[in-house]
Amino acid sequence: MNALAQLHLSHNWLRAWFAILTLILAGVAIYLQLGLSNYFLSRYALLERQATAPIVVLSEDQNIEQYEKIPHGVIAQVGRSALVGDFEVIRQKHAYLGIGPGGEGLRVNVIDPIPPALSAPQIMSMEAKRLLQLPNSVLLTDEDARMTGLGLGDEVEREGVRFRVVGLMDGNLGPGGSLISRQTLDVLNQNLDRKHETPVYSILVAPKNGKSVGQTIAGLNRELNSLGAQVMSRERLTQKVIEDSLKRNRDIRAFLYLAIVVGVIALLIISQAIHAMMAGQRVEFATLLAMGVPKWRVAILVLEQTVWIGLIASAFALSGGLVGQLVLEKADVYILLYPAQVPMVTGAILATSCLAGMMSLPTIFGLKPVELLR
Amino acid sequence: MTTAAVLSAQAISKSFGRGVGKVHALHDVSFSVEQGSLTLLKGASGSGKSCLLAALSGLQRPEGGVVIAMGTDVWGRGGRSAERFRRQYCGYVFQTPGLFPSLTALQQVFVPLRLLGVPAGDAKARASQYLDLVGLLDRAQSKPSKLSGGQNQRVAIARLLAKRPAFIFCDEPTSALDGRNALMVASLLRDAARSQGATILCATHDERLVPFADRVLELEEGRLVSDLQGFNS
Repeated sequence: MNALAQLHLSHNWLRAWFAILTLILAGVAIYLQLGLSNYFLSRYALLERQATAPIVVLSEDQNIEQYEKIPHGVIAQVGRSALVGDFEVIRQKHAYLGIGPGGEGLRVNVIDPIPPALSAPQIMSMEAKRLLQLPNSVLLTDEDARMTGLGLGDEVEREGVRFRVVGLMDGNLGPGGSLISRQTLDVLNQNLDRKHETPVYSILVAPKNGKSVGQTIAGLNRELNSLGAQVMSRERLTQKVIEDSLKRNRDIRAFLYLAIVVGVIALLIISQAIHAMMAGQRVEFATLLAMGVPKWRVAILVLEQTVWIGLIASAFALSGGLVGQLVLEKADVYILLYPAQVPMVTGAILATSCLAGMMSLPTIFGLKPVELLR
Repeated sequence: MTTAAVLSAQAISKSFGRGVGKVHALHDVSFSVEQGSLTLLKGASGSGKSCLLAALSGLQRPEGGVVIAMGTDVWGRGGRSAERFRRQYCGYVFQTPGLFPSLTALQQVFVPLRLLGVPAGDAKARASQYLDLVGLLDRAQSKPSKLSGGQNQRVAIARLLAKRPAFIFCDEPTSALDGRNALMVASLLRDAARSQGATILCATHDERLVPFADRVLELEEGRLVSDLQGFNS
């Protein structure tokens, strides 16, 4: 019965547009809030949060704004600990490999693909890890391929070292960019005139066989807290990043409140608008009920209208969010929305719209066809 | 043409309010109607016509008495059996046509049929057929705002006839119509009784409908005071 819902909606376009406009504002706020959060989340500890290792050791002073070095004593203690099975010291997470044929530079992430491959993303395939073990190999994201003009089999050069693209990957699968191995990084670093040792920013840990993650975290915290380090799980780190970003970043907080407030206002306005649409068509709906049309079918007619309102609002909200993103970028506020999150924004708008529709359903269920009699 | 009784009211009573403000709308009203007949329920305002119509048609439960339709107690199992009775057997014409402003005449007939579960192809064919029957096929694409009051009432009749109901309940269907349109609506209802075998009960105070009726029942203060039969036999 889409046709009736659409026609009904078009007949009540003024009320519907009022509702749609409010939902668009809510959608834009959600878009920007999500994008801002993403941007912060993507900047902070992404490698550690996506890594295969379930446990992360960080400096006790580590916060969202800056990387803090881990004291040498901590590294030594992790090496000695009876709780630790494997561990990987994270020094340099990124490297620059030179300029591609497209004129853009290629900046890559560094992981260790050799088993136990603690820094490799959990979802990384064995095949990808194998390719990355080839000398001077690069796994290129689609986005980097577009930016740099590099393709499969192409090479890029820095300091006389040639790096070869051995595979293409989805950017969402890695720690936010193309990948090389720690062994390839060592080759590059040998050719660079580095005067100082790169500090350790984090240690990835796998528990010893027979020890649980929880036991290992608790035990390591006892061993390392006094040495200036904190130990947590991957999941706790992600939670901490979100908490810290909300605590420390006013933009994220402001947009979160804005999204909630506008969402609630949108919910109330839409439910009022739909309620008014219902009241205007009371006689028609009651006639349908008198004819024997079940109440649930009439209710579906109303909900279909709210779905259309939600879909129209989503389309405009996503466009509006994109415009907002471009405007904010000029003010140095960066938004990052992953394609996979577009359905989330659409879903949030649709859910708001449908919830508003459901709030008007008691009116439908309260209709009495006998009232049509004179 | 008329055969066995298909709808019978047995001692129907209904009152509104409580205590000293209690109003008795119907007092033990009993009668039966036969299949394919057009029966008028006449009476002044407040005589209980609409209240009786509501009880007979499964729209409002009476306080006392029994309504038997096609051998089944309409209110026997509470609201559910009345709802099933309405869905399966009843069509209604109200004083207000109750058309959706956003739908064309064709859609006014088509959409309820679809909501009642009639397949799309069948619903479309039936919608055209019954619009043709009420003489409005050439206005099939017109919306209610582009049709006169009489034409809108005919669309409402096409909508109810397309459902092919066994019972048609009408509440003042012609009171807002001019002479020509009132006669056309009355003629359509009588034809439905004749050709489809529908049993029609029509609450009205419109004298113009009397020549079309098979039977006229008159109510006064909730009591059946006269029963005139054989108008069109």
